[in-house]
Amino acid sequence: MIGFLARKGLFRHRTRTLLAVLGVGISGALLLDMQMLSRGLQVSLQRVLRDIGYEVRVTPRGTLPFETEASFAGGHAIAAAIAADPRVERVAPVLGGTAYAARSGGSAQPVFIYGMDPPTETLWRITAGQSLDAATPAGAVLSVALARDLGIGLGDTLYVARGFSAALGMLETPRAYTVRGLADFRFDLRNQRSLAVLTREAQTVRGALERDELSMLVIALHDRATSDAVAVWIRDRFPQVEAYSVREMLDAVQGQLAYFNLFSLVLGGVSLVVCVLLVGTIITLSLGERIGEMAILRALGVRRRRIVGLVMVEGLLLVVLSLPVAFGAGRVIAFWLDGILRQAPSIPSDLHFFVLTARAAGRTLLLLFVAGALAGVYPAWLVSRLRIATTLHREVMG
Amino acid sequence: MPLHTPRAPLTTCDRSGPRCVGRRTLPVPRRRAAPTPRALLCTHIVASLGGMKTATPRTEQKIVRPALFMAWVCALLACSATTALAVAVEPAAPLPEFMLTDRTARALGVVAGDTVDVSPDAAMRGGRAFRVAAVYRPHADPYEVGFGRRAVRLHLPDLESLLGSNDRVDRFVLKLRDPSQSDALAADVDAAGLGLRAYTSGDLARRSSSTFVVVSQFHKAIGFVSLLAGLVFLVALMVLKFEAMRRELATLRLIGIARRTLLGTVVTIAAAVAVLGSAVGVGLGALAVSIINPLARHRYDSDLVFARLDWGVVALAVALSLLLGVLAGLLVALRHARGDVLGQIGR
Repeated sequence: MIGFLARKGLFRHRTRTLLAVLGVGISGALLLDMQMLSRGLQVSLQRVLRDIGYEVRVTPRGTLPFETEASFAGGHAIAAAIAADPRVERVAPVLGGTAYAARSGGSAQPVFIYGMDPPTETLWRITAGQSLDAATPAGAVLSVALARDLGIGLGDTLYVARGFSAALGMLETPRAYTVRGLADFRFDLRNQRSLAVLTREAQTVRGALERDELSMLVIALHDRATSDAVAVWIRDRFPQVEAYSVREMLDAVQGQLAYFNLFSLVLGGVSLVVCVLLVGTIITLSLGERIGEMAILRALGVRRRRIVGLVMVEGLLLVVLSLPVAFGAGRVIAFWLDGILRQAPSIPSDLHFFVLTARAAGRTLLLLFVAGALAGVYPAWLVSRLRIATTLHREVMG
Repeated sequence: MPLHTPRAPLTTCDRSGPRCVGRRTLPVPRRRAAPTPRALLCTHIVASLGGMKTATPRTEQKIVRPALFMAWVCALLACSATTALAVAVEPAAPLPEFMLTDRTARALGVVAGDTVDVSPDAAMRGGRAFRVAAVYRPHADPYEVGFGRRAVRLHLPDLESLLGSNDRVDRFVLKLRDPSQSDALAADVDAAGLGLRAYTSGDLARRSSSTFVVVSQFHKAIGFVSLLAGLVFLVALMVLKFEAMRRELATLRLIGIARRTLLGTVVTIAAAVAVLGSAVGVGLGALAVSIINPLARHRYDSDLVFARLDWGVVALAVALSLLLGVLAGLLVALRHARGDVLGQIGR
């Protein structure tokens, strides 16, 4: 009976109900978007990291991967020591840093150079040609953007150097590489130009060969569940480096997303308040019109708690009706907002700000139902205090 | 020609004159530095000298040797003592100074006057001891929020020496006698073929603010969506309000009040509700700002203003609220004006 009465009550004023559904729907859409935003980058990064496929990352002490150009010495020795651990499947050394690249007779361009050895390279996806080959150390893989900017293609020669002589206007002790492949680099920023060569070659270009400097080690484990323990072991064993499991790295990155955390918290809170106010107002005003009806129901013997339940169900029903609007509009708005934010120059092209996850959807549903329930509290309290005789008398006289 | 100028005292707000800027990531040990090798050497020499002074009387009391041997011992002692004394009293070269941000100082547990080892290597190879000249709080920078970065500021020659990259800098900053010539000077530097790229402050501001332009667009988009939700809320309220008033309005029409007057009344009520709502909204906004800023500043250890309520924002919010409120009221009023009066009073 409660469901029937609640439905009748809501559909009696279709325009009003439609407006309420729209209002709650848009507030719900904002709430969903803020839930998606609050952990969107983290989830997106997690997906990319899983796709890349390594469980532990080792960086210079106090830094995140490629956060700075810091490196640690004796990299291959550390890699070998880590690889000797039975929990470790393989270790891939990585060197990254700024260099300059130019084609023959062309102007030099700053680039980000990666050093990583086959077959472990997963930081880029080949789109044309071939990836690096240990047998041809003079081969390089270029980002599509770099190849386009330099006007070179597969088989062409590229000159790479760490320094650029301002006085001479040319590269300092350049090394020549043949372009073997073109690729999409996973973490490239919008305006970043990247190239990859073998690790030792990158060390030579960067002047890091003598001290065997590396920027990062990526470690694949036999058992993912041991990643935290392996990270702890590496930190203890090698004080000059930092080790992160995927979870630890995501936590560290989350700390850097301060703006979006705060923003989603504030706007999500505001959306929730708007939702509660809207549903509460609609139900309260609607109840004001139907107060006589409630008094009659009470006079007919319907219990007080059932009347209270009726009011609460109306609030929840409004929320249920608004869910398609909330999730539909939420996805559309998220797509739009994500497009805006991804125009920022410092965002890798693989990452997204708004990611719909089961957690985000579940939290939105929960919060909306809490809002619906909260919104029904005040009108329910009003109904619970209803005096049957007085109300009926007032209704008849009015 | 060396790139750097002679060493000058470090200041927290050194913004005048041409400067070369080097910037690197350096590991700094997370504890007060142990005594440096030089300090250890000095301590050792002073201790040796003390031992020799106390040993000499014992030698005179217990050992009797030929005069030549005694003379040789005395000469040796005198020579050693003189040498040691000379080393000991030689004034130690003052440690180079550097400055730390307050966050770095807290992390290291050091204060001004302490000695800290700085190295280009996480294993502290090739490190040097520096004395903390001052601890400073850097200017609030939105790029830094949440990163918790620790920074130190060294004299350029010290950084060059530490990194082993003499006569190299990342950039120059120039202060011009006539700032209006900045574009012309930048163009001259670019055209000089030195392999340098010059940017005016305006260029840099434009290039580095692109992130904030995007964030601003994001804010506008979110504002638009919020506005949409607010509009629906407002229209719903107005519908409810005037549905509740429909009998009253119909009665007024029946007793001869002009439709225009009623329309004006409805719009006035809508405007009043919108203004009152705006006032409450501004109050809530001010309350939110007063809560968000201290919390965020504490959480992120930053002096940034995270939320700001200024007159422009207030004026925009009130104006939009008023406009939307009146529009919503007008729509509802027109709908009622077209309706059957007797039906509206239930006859």
